[in-house]
Amino acid sequence: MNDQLTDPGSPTDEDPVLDQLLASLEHFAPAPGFEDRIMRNVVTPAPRWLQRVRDRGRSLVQHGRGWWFLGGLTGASAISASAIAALLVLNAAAVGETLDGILNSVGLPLWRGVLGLAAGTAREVTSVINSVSVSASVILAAGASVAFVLVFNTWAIYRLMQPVQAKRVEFNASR
Amino acid sequence: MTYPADLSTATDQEVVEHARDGRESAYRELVRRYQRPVFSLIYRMVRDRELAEDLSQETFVKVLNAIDRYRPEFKFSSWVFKIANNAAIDHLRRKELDTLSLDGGPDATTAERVEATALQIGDTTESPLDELEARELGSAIERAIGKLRPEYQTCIILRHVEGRPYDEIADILGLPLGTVKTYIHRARAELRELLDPLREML
Repeated sequence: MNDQLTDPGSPTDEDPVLDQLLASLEHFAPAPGFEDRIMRNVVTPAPRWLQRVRDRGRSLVQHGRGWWFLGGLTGASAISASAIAALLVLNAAAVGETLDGILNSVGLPLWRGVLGLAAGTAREVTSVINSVSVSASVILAAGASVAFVLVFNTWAIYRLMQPVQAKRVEFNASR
Repeated sequence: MTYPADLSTATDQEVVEHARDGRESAYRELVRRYQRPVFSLIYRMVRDRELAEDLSQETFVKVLNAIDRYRPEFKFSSWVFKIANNAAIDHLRRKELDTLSLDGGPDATTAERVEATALQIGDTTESPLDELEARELGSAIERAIGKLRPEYQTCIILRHVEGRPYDEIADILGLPLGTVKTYIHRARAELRELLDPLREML
């Protein structure tokens, strides 16, 4: 084939008017929201570190090594629990005395402090409520708003925990 | 991997890497970069805005859902345009097979049979979408491009609108480089012929 005829850059193919017209061709934009419509149908993968952890776990299970790992973990837990139980049983009196000491020196004061804090807070809240004069309807509205927010948050968390429903399109283009 | 806040300055390969890591913003960046070129290519081929949007969406969904299978040694733009072009060509082929005669079915021999099998034309008033399409694709050069064969259209658009080099166009279309040059040469010759009567006004 004659390269001069097929080469668009050759003298026979020069046409400034046509080139100008072609240069004036613009990019058209799709309708607004195009990006969102696409993302609704796209499944974004988990982060790579999580994919690696999952792949590793699957590999352990597939090759049987997972059972050894689980067995080892279970065995270690059982041995540790047994050792602690044996220690407690064999030294019951000493353990009892130690626990009493911890309770008296740390536990009870801490508990008393928490109770005092709760009581103090309740007193402060009560005094604020008594000092503010609001109508019953305002209080009701505030209460309803708080209830609505709680219900909405519960619903939102429930929705967020649902699995992704996006349709996965199989890629079938050739290279 | 550190994640930059602004992906607009990252290369395609970098954005793809972030997308593979599950970042939705990277997916959106890829769509933002290529939505106009892809949509323009398909729109000029199928000449229908709504259809072009559907096919463009289909293209991006295919590309993004297969992002983990993308091979970085090839240009991302080539991959996207290849899928877009295939989507448009597949539609045009299906449309060709599905086209009914306006004058009735091929086996219609009597007047009653012709009337029964003829394609019914609905309301002929232009919708706002039709008006927009007429405005966007109504210029002389757009109409001339619309009359080219699909392969020629793709070559001309990729070369003169997208500014892609010949070897990339050849890669996108899966054709030899010489064939791409021939197509562009012939497309230009056809465009010249179609625009010749209007040369004085241009």
